[in-house]
Amino acid sequence: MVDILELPRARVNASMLTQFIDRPVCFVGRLEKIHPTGKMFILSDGEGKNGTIELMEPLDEEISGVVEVVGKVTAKATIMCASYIQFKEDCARFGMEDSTNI
Amino acid sequence: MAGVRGAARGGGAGPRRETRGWGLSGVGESDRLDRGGGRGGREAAARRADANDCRSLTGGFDSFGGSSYGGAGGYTQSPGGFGSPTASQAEKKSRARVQHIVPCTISQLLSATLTDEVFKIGNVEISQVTIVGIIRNAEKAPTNIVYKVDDMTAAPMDVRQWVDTDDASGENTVVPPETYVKVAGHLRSFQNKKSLVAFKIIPLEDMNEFTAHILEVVNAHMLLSKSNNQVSAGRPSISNSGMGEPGNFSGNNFMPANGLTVVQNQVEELVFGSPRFQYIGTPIWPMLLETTSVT
Repeated sequence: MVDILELPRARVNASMLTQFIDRPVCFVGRLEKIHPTGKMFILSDGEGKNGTIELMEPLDEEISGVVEVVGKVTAKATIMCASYIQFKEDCARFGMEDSTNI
Repeated sequence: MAGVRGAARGGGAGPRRETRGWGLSGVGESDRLDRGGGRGGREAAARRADANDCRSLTGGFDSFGGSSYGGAGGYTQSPGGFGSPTASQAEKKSRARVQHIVPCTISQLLSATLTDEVFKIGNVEISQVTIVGIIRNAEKAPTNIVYKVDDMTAAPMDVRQWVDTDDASGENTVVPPETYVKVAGHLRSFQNKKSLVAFKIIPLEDMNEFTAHILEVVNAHMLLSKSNNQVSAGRPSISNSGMGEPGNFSGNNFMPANGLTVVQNQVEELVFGSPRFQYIGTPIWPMLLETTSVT
């Protein structure tokens, strides 16, 4: 499978996930909850809706704040995460609702 | 008013100063543009106003000193500006071409066509561009650093930054991977592979700048392709309430009566001119985004 980081990825929010099934996307959201197993976490997007992110391996570090996830949308409208980065804390006032509605 | 006009025509007097003010200060220095040094500061403020003002009418990306020919470099019509009457044919040709610094996405850069050594995206000519993306990879060599910058629109693009071998330079520090940066540089194509040669790479300090860049990409390309398509290079859809100064947008489009081009007139109006487009002094993007965020 081609590395997802070589493909164009659309920036989406939670309500767009169903339209992007099986496609590579980039999702930015604030961390709401991490599943106890560490293999899944929930981000809330700019509109406040939640998106579920699944991982191949459990998280090996504590994550918090705003996270950007790159991955592929599964048939269940969750994202299978290929990579993620955390935004710095001083970017907390990031107007997320503005970047996806373009 | 006199200040800007004088500056445009005084390009011949201080070409080096102009170049430093425009070509190298780049697009990302939000607080270093206000040098307070009179002309440099004012023009830089005008440019930042254009870049930040959502009502920016010119697209805001005209680098007045894009080549090394000073303020009047890109505009053939400026009377008596150059001070070098023996310019060679090649110099005249590059001066005749208007130099913009255009915000782009990587997928746009990859789709650009190259004809006669000119890159074009659609019908927009590009040379200097800005992109915003995240660094995936950094390779340091003795004379340069090659980053792979990824903005999600396509595969990561190679960005080369030449390193000043002089030890006193602060450019030697490599930007760490997984940082969002704004890159300003020239587009190059070698063996059909596109890359950028960057003259400025700075990490983003505020992610709102990323949102602003996306909007600027759309704005700039729409404005530039519209002005290339139409005969009148004015602002037909935006200024409905009649034109500010006579002779700006009517009739001859590229040589208004006061000796400035259409774009220069727009900047002048923005900074000094009519109350319709008053530039208050702080970039309005953060204020706009604050008011629109839902709590």
